[in-house]
Amino acid sequence: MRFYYTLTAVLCIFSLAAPAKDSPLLATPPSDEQDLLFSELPSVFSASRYEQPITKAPASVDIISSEQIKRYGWRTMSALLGSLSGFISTYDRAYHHNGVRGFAPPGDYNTRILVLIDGHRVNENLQDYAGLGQDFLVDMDNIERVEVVRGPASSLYGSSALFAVVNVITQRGRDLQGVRVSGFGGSYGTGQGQFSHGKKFANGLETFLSASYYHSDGRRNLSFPGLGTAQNQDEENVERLQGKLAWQDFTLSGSYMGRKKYLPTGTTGTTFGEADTNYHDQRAYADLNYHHNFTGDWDVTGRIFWDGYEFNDDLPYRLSPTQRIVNKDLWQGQWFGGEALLSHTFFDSHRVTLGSEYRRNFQQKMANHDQAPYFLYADNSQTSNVFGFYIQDEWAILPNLSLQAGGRYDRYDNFGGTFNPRLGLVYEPLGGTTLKLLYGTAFRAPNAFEGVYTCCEGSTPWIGNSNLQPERIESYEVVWEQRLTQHFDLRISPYYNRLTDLIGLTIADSGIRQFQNQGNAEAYGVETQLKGRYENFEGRLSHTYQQSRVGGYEQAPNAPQQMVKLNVSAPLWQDKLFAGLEVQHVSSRATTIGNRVANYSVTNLTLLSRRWLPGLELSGGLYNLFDESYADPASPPLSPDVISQDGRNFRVRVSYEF
Amino acid sequence: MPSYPAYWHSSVLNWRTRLCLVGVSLLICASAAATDILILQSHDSPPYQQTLAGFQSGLANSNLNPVYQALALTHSSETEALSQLLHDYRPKLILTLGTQATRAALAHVKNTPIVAGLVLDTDELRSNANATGVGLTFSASLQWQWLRRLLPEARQIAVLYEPQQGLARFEALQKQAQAEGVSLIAAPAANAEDLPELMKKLPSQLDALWAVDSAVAFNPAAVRELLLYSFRNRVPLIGLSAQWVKAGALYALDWDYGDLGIQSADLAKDILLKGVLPTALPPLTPRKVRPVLNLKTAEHMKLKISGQWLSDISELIQ
Repeated sequence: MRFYYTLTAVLCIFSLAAPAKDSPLLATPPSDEQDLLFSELPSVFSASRYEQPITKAPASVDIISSEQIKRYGWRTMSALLGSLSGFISTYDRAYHHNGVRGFAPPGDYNTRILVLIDGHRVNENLQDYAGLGQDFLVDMDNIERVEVVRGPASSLYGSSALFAVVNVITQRGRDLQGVRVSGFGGSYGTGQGQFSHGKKFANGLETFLSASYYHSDGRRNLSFPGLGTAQNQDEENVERLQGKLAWQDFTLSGSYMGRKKYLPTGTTGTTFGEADTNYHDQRAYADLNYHHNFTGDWDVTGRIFWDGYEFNDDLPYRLSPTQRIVNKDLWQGQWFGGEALLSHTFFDSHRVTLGSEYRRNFQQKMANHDQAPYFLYADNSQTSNVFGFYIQDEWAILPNLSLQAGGRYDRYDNFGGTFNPRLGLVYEPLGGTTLKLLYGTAFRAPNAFEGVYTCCEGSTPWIGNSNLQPERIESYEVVWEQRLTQHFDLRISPYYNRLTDLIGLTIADSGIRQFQNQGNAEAYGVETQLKGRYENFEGRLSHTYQQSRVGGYEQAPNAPQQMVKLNVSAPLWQDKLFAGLEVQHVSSRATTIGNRVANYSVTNLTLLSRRWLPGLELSGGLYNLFDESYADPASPPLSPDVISQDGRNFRVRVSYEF
Repeated sequence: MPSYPAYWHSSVLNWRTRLCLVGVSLLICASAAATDILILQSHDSPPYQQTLAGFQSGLANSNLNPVYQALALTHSSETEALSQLLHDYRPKLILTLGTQATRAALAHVKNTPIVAGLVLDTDELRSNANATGVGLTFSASLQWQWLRRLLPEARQIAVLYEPQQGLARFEALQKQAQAEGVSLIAAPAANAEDLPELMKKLPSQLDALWAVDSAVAFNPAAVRELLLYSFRNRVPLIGLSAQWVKAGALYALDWDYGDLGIQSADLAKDILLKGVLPTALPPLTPRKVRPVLNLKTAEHMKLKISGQWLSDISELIQ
């Protein structure tokens, strides 16, 4: 706490000491604006579903550009998000998990963050899982921009938008305009090759196609206290295919990702150390989007889509040293749907947005069996429908005062309807000062796994719970954004979140496992971020203080009280060589069973070199530079309580565009 | 060039005061054979200074013995000072620099010849018998020529112009475009507030955004809006001056301000030495162009600029 008070005091003094600069009306913009343009685009789409300046958006927003991804060498979306205030990234050697604002229960497959790719929902229809590690649908090279909007957003997006909306905007043909061949290699026998082609043709047609293959041997030896050492069981293979076709007002996009991850930790029911224990996820989608601004400022967006997800695994276990049985899951989900959105400004001051969405889950299958001898434990199938309708009004009461009010009604087959409002008052009392008062609710609908999955009668029985109600969050937040000088911005966001009807797994005395609405949680905290940029230098320093309580736990698991994050990028040689430094300090956290993992500080250093030869880009990253030994709380159903993380490792990346 | 006292450079005195001091001192020093020239300026930024220097150098080798009196006209209230000055001081010619100064002179002066410089709209000069000048707008053919050199593959180009004054310019460019099968999309904007809505309506497959002749676009907030659109959509923006290019526009045809002053001096000589009436001297377009290109923007936009034109670029931003 003392650190927090000190930091906040320093920043506040800095803010008061820095006089608000006059902004005389210049005949032309100052030339150093170009650096701003190359470093960040200060507008956001995802906060209100139309483009608006960040200062007008009813949320605390961060924008990450493709340039920053290169300069800081983030290898996954999870690492990118983990660099932001309020976010924490953990890895259990099966999946990457991201928690936000003091709520990061191990085992959560990012179900309380809504992840979008070009506005298309990524969270799947069986467990709401959104892969953010190597299982993300888009290669990091193909990302143009990431919009991170904190706070509840079910009033616009429906389920899963509890803590944040992450919208990943991918590259278009014009962003490449040729061929890119890239690849990287690094520690633990890791390597990737990628081929991309993008083109905007003279007739206006735009195409983008990218394919990649990733392989990592993983850590050779991984020790887990009380279990033993897993040898050569950390392998990971990923293939991705992504495409986009744009013609006038239409954009057809799609992506496929297949990932096989071997599990050094084992999981429920497996025998530790058995070779070939693995998870295999496949995810794909196709999306046809139409957008047009009609005469009279009628902005119309329409979207139809298809999505698919398949999960299978090999979970070997031994009944005896000589009897090895492989248990297998086969989960398949498919859904299609459509979305329509209409936006118009009435009376010059009311920007009204109307929208509706329909999703038909025409396949939700979850089966489990032993391979030999064959024994069927579970075979659950269902179909379901989701319908949502929303309305939002941004009322410009005064030139420097606006009120955003909206709400969305969602109807689900299983639990019925839910309505979630959002209110945001945005006030700019002075040039460079913005105050936002925000209130909203959001929900996460019980997913098919929680509501339907019934399995394993006679061994470890699971029984679906069709009476589950959605989890809800009620959120209060104040955002103070202050331009300190031409080069520095400060943001302070205190918040309070109250969650009710949290869905959690219960194990009865009889051994029956069932998901139930079993508890509440609350979290409050303050996020403070100082951002700076000057010519080719840029950076941000953030501090997060958070306190959370989760029902059923003495200490909220995986919820550090303090996080300090620093990202600084600087040119070392003209505009040809850049260094990107990242430092993250995370205070100690509780594990699921109430132990604690120690605090840690990790430093990553990336060097980016370009413009020595046309189209050639080289980068090298040293991760965990000082070889800090640290661990993350493990996720049920994985066996260990804590999982050690990688020590010092490296990656070298080459990219050539022509 | 007159020599100015040392306190000219002192920050204590503002530039308007300096101009008045110079004017008074020059007046005192003027000989009986001198040709009195009144200089009215809308601004004192470097382009104005360079144009004035060019004008003075253009007249330096003539048989005229010019004596200058200068007055800044940045606000409408200062036109009272102009009326007073014209009453006391009867110049042989008035050089105006900038739209505001030119309009003030046209409103108050009916008999003295006026040579205007640094003005976008030369139509106002044509309607006044005692006025001529050098406009800022390059000929449509020159603008088109540079567009095709630097963006030969562009097929859909939105042209931003002021609805009334810029319409003729747009139509002239459209003729050139139609001849080459290029589609120009009209984007008239009367004021800066129109820009966000205007840009929402632009087709998503646009190849370039071209600000050709718009008073709106001189508003810095509007320029920033245009640049953000340009970068977000990777649609190159063709700007109006080197400052735009330094801020992120792809290229602009900038002016050789000294030569603009010399062109104005040539008109002044025709009037003062040859006795040509201003009405017989139609307003001129700039005869020299300074193309300024931002290679960093070109790289960001994934544009390949043909090497054969780089030697003709006056200033490369890298």
